[in-house]
Amino acid sequence: MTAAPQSIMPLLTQMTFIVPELMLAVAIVVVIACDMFLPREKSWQCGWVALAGLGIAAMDAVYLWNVTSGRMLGGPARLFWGMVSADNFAMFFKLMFLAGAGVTILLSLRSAELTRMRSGEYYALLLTATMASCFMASSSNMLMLYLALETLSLPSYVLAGYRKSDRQAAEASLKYILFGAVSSGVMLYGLSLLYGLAGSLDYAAITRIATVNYPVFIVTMIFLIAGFGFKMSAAPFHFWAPDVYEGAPTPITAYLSVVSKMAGFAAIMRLLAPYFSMTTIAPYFDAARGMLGRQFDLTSIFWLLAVLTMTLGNFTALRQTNIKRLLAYSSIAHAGYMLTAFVAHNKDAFSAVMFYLIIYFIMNFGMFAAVTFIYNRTGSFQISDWRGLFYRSPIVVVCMGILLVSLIGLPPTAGFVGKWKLFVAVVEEGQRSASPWFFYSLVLIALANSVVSLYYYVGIIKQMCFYEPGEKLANFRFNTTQKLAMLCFAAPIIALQINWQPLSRFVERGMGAARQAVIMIIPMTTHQNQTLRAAEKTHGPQAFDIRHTGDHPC
Amino acid sequence: MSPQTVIFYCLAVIIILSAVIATFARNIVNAAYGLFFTLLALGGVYVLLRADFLAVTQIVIYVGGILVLLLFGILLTNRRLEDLIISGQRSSLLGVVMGCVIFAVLLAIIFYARWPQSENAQLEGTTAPLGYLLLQNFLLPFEFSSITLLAALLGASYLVRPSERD
Repeated sequence: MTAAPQSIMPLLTQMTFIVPELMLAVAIVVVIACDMFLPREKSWQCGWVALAGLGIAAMDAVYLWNVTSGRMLGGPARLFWGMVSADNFAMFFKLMFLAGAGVTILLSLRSAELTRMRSGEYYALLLTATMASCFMASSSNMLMLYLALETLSLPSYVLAGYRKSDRQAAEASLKYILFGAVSSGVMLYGLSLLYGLAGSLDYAAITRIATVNYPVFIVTMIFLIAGFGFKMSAAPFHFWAPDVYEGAPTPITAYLSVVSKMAGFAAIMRLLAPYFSMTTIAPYFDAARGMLGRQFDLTSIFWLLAVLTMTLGNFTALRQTNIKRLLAYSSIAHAGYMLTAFVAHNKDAFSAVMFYLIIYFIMNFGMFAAVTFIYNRTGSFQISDWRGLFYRSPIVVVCMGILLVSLIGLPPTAGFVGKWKLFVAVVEEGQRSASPWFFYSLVLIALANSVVSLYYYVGIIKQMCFYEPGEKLANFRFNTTQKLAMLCFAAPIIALQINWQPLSRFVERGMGAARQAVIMIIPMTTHQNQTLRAAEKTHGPQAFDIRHTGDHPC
Repeated sequence: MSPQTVIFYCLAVIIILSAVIATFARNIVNAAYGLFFTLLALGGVYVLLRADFLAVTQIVIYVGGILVLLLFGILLTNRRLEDLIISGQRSSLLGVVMGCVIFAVLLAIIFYARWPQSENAQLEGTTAPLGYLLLQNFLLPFEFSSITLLAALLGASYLVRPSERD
């Protein structure tokens, strides 16, 4: 038996911290029940039920955001015998996942790819995946993490192949399952090694291994990165992405490219937060050090991973003619940019990733919304069929232009701010480091990659603006809802370039910034909060801690 | 050599040989039988490790359930066995090289690592403690796995249902 850390908080009070997930579980059941009573042509209405469930979950997540405010990432886990942590980092990602699922459902309701199909399962599976991503962001135990990862993957496999009659969808689903099974198996092998060494699945146990068995730690980390890399679509594990993105229904493509990827980043960030200061502890792998000219550690692995991911993504995107494939490679490249933060591996860099993820959320959902709207009328995903779109709907094309410029990362958009924050974090770490060019070279490669990406993003803008409209766009126009939706995606991109302070503060709180920064939206006098504070008063701030990992620089 | 060690090495030989058969057999039925012996012998290893519940679970679920299901699946879906289901390997050279590298790394790790020695556990049933753990320390994963299974069931039932699109 493992040592059972006794929790002081009653189980029911602990459960109040996972109410968003519980609400989603309820919503899953309700959606399935509704689907049973609705005829097929009306089963799309399940989408609204699912949306309502997400709304209630999101409201509770906002409330919990205030309750858990001020708890550090990498701090002690306290719920359910150390299975999940209740901190703002988890709540930050839960809010993003719920919002992402909401946008996905709205897009699904408007997508021509999904009409005339039975959609009860679709929304139930989408909610399951969302619930699993919520647990992925908050899990602080390997078992919970693996279970959440699998629960996110299983519905994704089905959703990717939801258009059963479509050959491409079947191929997408099958490829996704095969790659998913392999990477999850590799990850599980790594976990088994960790468990054998530590005798515990808690994240804190891994910290101990890192100090005793450093080479083993590195190898197991590589195994784990295979699992996360699959979700993040990082380079050697990205092969599924283009085919799955192409074959899946467009709203699901958007979901996979944003929510699924964010879940991977959230989980690995929580896992690695305790190692902020530990990456250079052990003087092992002398041969490798001589070969690489630097200590072979986690940062080296991430350096390779980041460079490989962004370069492969950007250069392969150059040759794409299908917009969904292009966006797939673009999303791989963006994963590469965000992986640079793991090379710098400090608090600023992680904040920058979270900041970038929000902007990436807006940019990608915006682009996929446009893809859905255009497909609804033209039935085509070819970029060449977008020719002359500008003359049909200048407003929407301007919005898309803004999103594309933001994807490049050029100044009048939020994409620039995001990249700036990321790269500055890396450069600053370089200035502190003994081998600055390790970091500088990474930023230079990332900048060169941005220049490469300019080519294919601008290529889309060129197609839309500098040609006469093709025959597929003969009677084409966007309706008012679609125009409004595109404006809703483009407006924040501009607004956040003008003033990104509110978003920065939001991210800082997500990282567990000081409690005085909390804006009290809801009076915190609930039973839940009283219990928390009272226990802290009697037992000290570590009341529910099952581990004391000492100093987290974060 | 204690009898336990002898039994362990016998089981290990069975596992490795049958795993090799499962991997390289051209006929999928032979591969399934190879897998059968792998899983069965693995159950024996669990017994040696005094994980009685796990051993029984292994035999009931993997040998009794999944493998029989696999064989039935093969027998029921394909009449011309040799023609249809033949596993093949492509780019085997790369696979061999990669496999050897990974094997070497793992071997180095296993010999290098300082594995913690557990105190020699008494031979008593693990079922009761497992039950307690499932409703205490592992309560959340235990309940959450029901959602996992629900998702798998939903997805599978959707995929196998005949297409509704006219």
